[in-house]
Amino acid sequence: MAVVNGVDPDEIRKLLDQKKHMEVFLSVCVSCGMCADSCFLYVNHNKDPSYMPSYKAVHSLGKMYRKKGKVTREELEEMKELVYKKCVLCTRCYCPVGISIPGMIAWARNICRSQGVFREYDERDSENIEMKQHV
Amino acid sequence: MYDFLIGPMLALSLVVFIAGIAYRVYQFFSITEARPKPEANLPKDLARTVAAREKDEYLRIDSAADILLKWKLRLKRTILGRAPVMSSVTIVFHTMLFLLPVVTVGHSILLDNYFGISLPTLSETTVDTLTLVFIIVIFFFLFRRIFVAKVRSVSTWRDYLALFVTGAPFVTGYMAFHHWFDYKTVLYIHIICGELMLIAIPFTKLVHMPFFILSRFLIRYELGFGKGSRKWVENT
Amino acid sequence: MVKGKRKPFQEIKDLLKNHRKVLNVGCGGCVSVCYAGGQKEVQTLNDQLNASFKQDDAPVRVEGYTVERQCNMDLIAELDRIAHNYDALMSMACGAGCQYLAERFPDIPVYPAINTMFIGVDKEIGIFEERCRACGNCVLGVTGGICPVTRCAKGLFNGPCGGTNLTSCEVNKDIPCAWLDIYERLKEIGQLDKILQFKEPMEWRNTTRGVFIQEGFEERFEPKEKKMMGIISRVH
Repeated sequence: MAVVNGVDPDEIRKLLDQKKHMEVFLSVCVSCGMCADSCFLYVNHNKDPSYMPSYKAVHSLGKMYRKKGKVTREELEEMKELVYKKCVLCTRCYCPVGISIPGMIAWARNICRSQGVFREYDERDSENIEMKQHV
Repeated sequence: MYDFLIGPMLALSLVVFIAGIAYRVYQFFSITEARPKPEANLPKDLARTVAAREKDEYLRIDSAADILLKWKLRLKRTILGRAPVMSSVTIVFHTMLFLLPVVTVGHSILLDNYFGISLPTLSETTVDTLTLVFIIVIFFFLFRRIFVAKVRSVSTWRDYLALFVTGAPFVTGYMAFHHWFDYKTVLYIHIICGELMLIAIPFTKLVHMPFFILSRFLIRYELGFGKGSRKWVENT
Repeated sequence: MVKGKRKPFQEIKDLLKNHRKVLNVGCGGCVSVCYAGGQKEVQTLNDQLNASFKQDDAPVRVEGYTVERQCNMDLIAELDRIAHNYDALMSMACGAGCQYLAERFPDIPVYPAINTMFIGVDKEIGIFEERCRACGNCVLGVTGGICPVTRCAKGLFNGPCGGTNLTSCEVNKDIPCAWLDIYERLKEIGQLDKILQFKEPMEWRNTTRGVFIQEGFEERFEPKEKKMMGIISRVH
């Protein structure tokens, strides 16, 4: 597969294959939604479903597995929102069937990072505007 | 037809079921590795601090009500105390899922005929009522999946399939018992649904049946039941 | 990460007993990872405190809220809208988070519920071990990756003391001598010459309050002179 828009599907595929257990996790998740209340971000953000641990894992790493690594840059940017901004990796998600959700989100972050998609911790909206004006 | 369904077809589905579960167990062991026991180099006053905390766990125990309160506090640290409705419904659901097929008189006769195993049964009316409760719980899960935003947001067709495959044998069994529609047809559908469920367990989301036991009991992590002896392999 | 442990229950209770309405603030950072101060622990502690105060007929109510991190002013800011409904705050973050919370709300008393232990590693589920004391002058590069500050009882920078008892420390026979381990490790990786390198004394720098500017961020705080260079270095 060719590298399109700076996204290398082969590299993603390789990283996905490294974690066999996560593929199993995704096939086991019964989408029961019981992880939701263990996430303080979900509780704090008015119970917005996109903050639910399984939502974050299924719509990032799960999507990569479903598409066998062939994700676009736009999709990676959407995942960035989920795995960096909506999760702080406090590693305390509850799962009744014993799936390690934080592991999956951490690995999704890793894959995003390999494609140059990461959170810039010092980014501030006002400052970005200021910088753009200078450059 | 009937003889085929409860003969070769049943044998086939049992073989697929057992082989599938065996494969899933093998798969679990291939993606996990043994984890050595924690070192014995622990603080010496460990036993003392635990004993001191257990003695009166945050409460004065003066009456029976205090003991109840103490257990309520302990329960509140688990999912049973946190989400009492959902967790109790789940427990009832899964218990009945395993028990109802075994304690039904009709099934028991089949078991006796095939293997000579004679298990205790419940009366037909009890099983009938329990099945009705079970069907209500199935619909509770279905409506939860459709109407609760957090569950809907992660649901896929595979989740609905799993729910359907689980529910179908019970609904058709209930119909057959009450002789709704043509008894023979409904009975055949009931048997087919039951066998399909057995076949589906290793290959659909119902695989959480073996996975739940293996993962929560064998993996050493925060929520594990017991001490756990294995961990996930990070680089395969 | 920073590791912490919850204070004894009685101590926490004594801190709060003269208040009416208390907000227990959890932290989703390090203390959550070490099972000390995340949302779950906040809920557990609140349940215990409320039950215990009720038993004593004390009019204290404790409620909970967990923020992303308490060591960042922007992230504590979300407490602004609720903090003034309470007459005391309790922090389940590390010492840094607790102090920053007190700085944010100067007119509300802030109490710690956590004893901050050290910077350490997750040895096992629930077992944490110190690895760093944040001395501000890392010598791991010349000591084979073994820290003499945390591992040596005397924190010696330049070789072992005279009390080395064969392979163990003079404080306790169960504690291995850090400098022996450093010697063995350097020998193994073929860098034994490094043990002769002289390390400057710390001069008690680690006993005053530390503040530092991360590399790459210096320009933001420097007095303006090389303005153009400063801007270019910030484009990233």
